[in-house]
Amino acid sequence: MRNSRIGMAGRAHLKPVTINPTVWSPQNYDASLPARYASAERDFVMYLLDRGLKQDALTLLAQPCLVPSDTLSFLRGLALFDDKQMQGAHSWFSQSSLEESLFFDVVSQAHLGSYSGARNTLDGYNGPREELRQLQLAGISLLQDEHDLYGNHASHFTYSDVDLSDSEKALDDVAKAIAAHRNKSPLAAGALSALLPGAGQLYAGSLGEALSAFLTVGSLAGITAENWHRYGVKSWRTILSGSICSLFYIGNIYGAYISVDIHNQEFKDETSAIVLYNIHIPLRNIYR
Amino acid sequence: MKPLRLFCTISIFLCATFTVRAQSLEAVEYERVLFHGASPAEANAALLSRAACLEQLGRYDDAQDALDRLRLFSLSAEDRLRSNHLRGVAMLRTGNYQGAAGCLDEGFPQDKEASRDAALILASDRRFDESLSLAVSLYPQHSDELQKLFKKAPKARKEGAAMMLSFLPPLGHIYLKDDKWLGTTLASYAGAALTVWQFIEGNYITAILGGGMLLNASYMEHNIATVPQRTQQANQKAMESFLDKLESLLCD
Repeated sequence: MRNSRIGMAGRAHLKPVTINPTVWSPQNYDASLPARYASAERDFVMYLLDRGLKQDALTLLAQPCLVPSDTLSFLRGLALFDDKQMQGAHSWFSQSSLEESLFFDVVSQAHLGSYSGARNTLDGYNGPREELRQLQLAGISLLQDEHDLYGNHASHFTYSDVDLSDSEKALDDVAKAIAAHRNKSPLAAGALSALLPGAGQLYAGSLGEALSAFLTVGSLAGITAENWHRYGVKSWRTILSGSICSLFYIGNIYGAYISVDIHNQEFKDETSAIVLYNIHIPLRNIYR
Repeated sequence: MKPLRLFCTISIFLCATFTVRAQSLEAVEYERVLFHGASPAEANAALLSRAACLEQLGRYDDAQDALDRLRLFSLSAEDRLRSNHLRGVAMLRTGNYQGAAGCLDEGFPQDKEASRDAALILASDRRFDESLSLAVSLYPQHSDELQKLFKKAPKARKEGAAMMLSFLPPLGHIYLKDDKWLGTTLASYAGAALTVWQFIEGNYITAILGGGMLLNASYMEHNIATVPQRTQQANQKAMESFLDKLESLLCD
């Protein structure tokens, strides 16, 4: 034996053992074991999660001695949520009837892109946190590009709740930015690049790509022109260089079209990230 | 599979699963000691045990995080050596050889396991003579094999030499033992040939733009610009392989 000590998996080779966090599954509750209650572990789990010790929290919450309860489901959901395992988090949150589970479940579903599911979850809420509910509904409206609906929900913002006011203002800013943003047209970008290689990429805001497209197509056009001038249009050199140049020219038009799509998607991703952050951050202040 | 072998395989798997689970829980319980507000001495004991547990689980980054939280002002001399050892091993396993050597220089405990790890760290820091003498003193029964292995200790490939050789592909690749040489080499020679041919033919625009582009892409962008990164990778790969072989000899 290379090493007789137990648990030496990581030492057998110089490369560290990678633990796949996506295979986390808690052990089934075993009533024959001395019972432990999740409510007694809540503060410790929060401490672990606040320190970024997600794996430890998941280990702790996987024990078979933990009695099933709403708190246990919530904590399991929260640990998975912190570990960015949104599907698992949603599954556990939805099993808990705690108020905080419902709001965290909405954020998990929003991360998963299940906006109608998130909306349905909030529709079933009838508790004291109405402004928080409206904040999350407003955020989901922004994620769904429903600007009129956003206005309806935002009209409930009071901007006076310490835990919510910053997020309410941030969502308003995002809504204004979206209203002011005009999506660029991929067709216009393609047309511009057809007129002048690289112009479409410049229109999309990618200077580097524009220069690269202009220089590549320009160089190939120069080579084709030289071959045409020296050997004539029917020469194999002209045909070969012309074909390559045409290929790059078409690629440049397609590239410009794609660049604008990417540019628009980047804006959408950026605003979505801000919205997701702001429908989540009040929960940390209120429930953790 | 024969029944006995199947039984052994299943037993080993179950044993490993339960061991990992038990050790993971043990690491959590050490953290609980800190959660409940331990005294500095208790916190240090818990953190050192937690780091040892995490290292056995292969969670080296988490182990280093635990060691970073040690209360240094109340760390005994013995625990300081132990923390150096744990940190050195974590760094060695994560490929930070220089950091591991720094920990070793600050002092390791005098037990056999620490000495064995010290031999590995010395080798990783290219202090092969010291590593060999330590390894032989620990495991004299493997003396011959160790001598043989250290004769083939990896030499550090120099970035400057790799850079110079890269101007004539695939010499740079051969020097760095990089097996992905064919594409770059062919593209470089095709670029050079195209440039020369087109100059001779009097097609100056084609020579400069076509050959120049190909040469620039293959020569400059890939072959030469990636030399520092490839040199580092080659050195790391050679060292990892050497340490694997060395580790297999450092046992009774």
